[in-house]
Amino acid sequence: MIQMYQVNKSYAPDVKALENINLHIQKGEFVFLVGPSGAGKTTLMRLIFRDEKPTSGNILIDGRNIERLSLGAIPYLRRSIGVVFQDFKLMANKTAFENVAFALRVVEASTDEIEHKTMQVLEMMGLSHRKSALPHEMSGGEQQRICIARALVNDPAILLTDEPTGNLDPELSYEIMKILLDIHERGTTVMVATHDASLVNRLQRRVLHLKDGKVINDSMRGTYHDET
Amino acid sequence: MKLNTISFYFSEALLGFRNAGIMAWATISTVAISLTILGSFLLFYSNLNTLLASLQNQLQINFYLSDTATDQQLEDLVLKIKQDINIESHQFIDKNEALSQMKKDLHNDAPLLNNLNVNPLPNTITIQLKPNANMQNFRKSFDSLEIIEDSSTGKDWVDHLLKMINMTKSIGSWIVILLGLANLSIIVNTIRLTVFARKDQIEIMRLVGATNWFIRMPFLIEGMLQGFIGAVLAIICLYFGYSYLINEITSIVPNLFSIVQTVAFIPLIIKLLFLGIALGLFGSLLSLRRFLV
Repeated sequence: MIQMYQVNKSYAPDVKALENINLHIQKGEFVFLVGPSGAGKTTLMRLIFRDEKPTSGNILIDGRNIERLSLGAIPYLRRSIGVVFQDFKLMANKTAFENVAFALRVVEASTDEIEHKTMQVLEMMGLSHRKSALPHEMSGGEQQRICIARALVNDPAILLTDEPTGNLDPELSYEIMKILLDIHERGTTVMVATHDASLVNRLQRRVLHLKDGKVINDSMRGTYHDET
Repeated sequence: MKLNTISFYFSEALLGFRNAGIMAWATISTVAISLTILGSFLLFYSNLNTLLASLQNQLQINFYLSDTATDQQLEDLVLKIKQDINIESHQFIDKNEALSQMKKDLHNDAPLLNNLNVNPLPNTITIQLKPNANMQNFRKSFDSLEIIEDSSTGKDWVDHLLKMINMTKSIGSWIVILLGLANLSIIVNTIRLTVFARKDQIEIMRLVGATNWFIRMPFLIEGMLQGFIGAVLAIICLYFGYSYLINEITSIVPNLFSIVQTVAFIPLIIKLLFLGIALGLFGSLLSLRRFLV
């Protein structure tokens, strides 16, 4: 599903964000991306949804080399990848429903489809009763779930989540993680960048350790502290 | 493109316009001021062109007749005029008629003429030539006649004036072009501020897979709307400003009104609306460039 071959990313000649990354993530895998701040977790995710281009190397998503995509084809790649950020990135002047529906408007879905799919995903997140709330009227956990709902509403093959529990208390963090596991159970490839050692250790999934832009460990049933 | 997508573009544009608040009005007032200045130039040009056209049509010659002319000489002259193919029309103005017209023109100063013992004005024949007639040749063909004491065309000063007007027009055109570019730059920067305030929204749109055109459309519609409102304000300012100016000028110099025509506003309105919308459109398009990858 996601393949990286000798991927390097530098922002300046002496600022290397990622160095010689080689990895294969199978379809339907659940992967934790761990490592200290500045290790390159967010950069790696940004490369996957083509928000940034690698300085060298190749990235294949579902067999397609995304580096060679034309500018016009990039939005279509992004529609197959759901992205959830730690800072939510919700539109402040839109309701929960409108924020989620926005991802469907972009693909020019019909009004009926927008209504049906948005409500379906809001129900899945347990937020159908909050559909008219504005982001500032919602709790951190609710905002994060809206963000996940928006990422899921287009049925993406890949879900990338960057610190999805970073702003939440342990109880809410576990709730969010259960939602991500549910999504994974339905066949979606899920990648979670996190600092939350307890969640990583509890779930015992594949763990990719990044440090100074390099993958220092890749364990199939790893823990947060493996080789860090 | 689906109907609900189009309606989404418009509702997003209106929402953006409403949320932009004071920045939207900054753009509108910039467009309005720019177009008022540009419109003033256009009005000035239209008047110059009207003046030019009226002067160019003045292929007119006045023959001042000798007081000692006999009826036979006058009849011969009229016959010669009627036979000349260069003549569009002619009119005989009797010297007494000319004097009474002069008194009318002088208004309050007419009593100045009361002390005249004799009428100093000659009988005159005013001839309007056809548009393609050669003034010089025509004048020469009548020069030899004794009955004609003098003639005048006023063509020399018209030629000088035309040269000056043409020079003013070419300098003015450059000023308008430079002014237009400066305006576009100001408008682009003003719109860029409103776009910058919504850079997060643009980023979210990109994240969820919106195409660049999908992202652009609400901004372009918003820009066109702002340009349109700016143009309407400029048209209102120009209309009332120009009407006021014309009233003031004609109250001071009544006869000038026959030259400085009230320009038909419809073509100007169309030009300014088109320019306003185009400025808003290009301003938004240029402002968005750096936010789209």
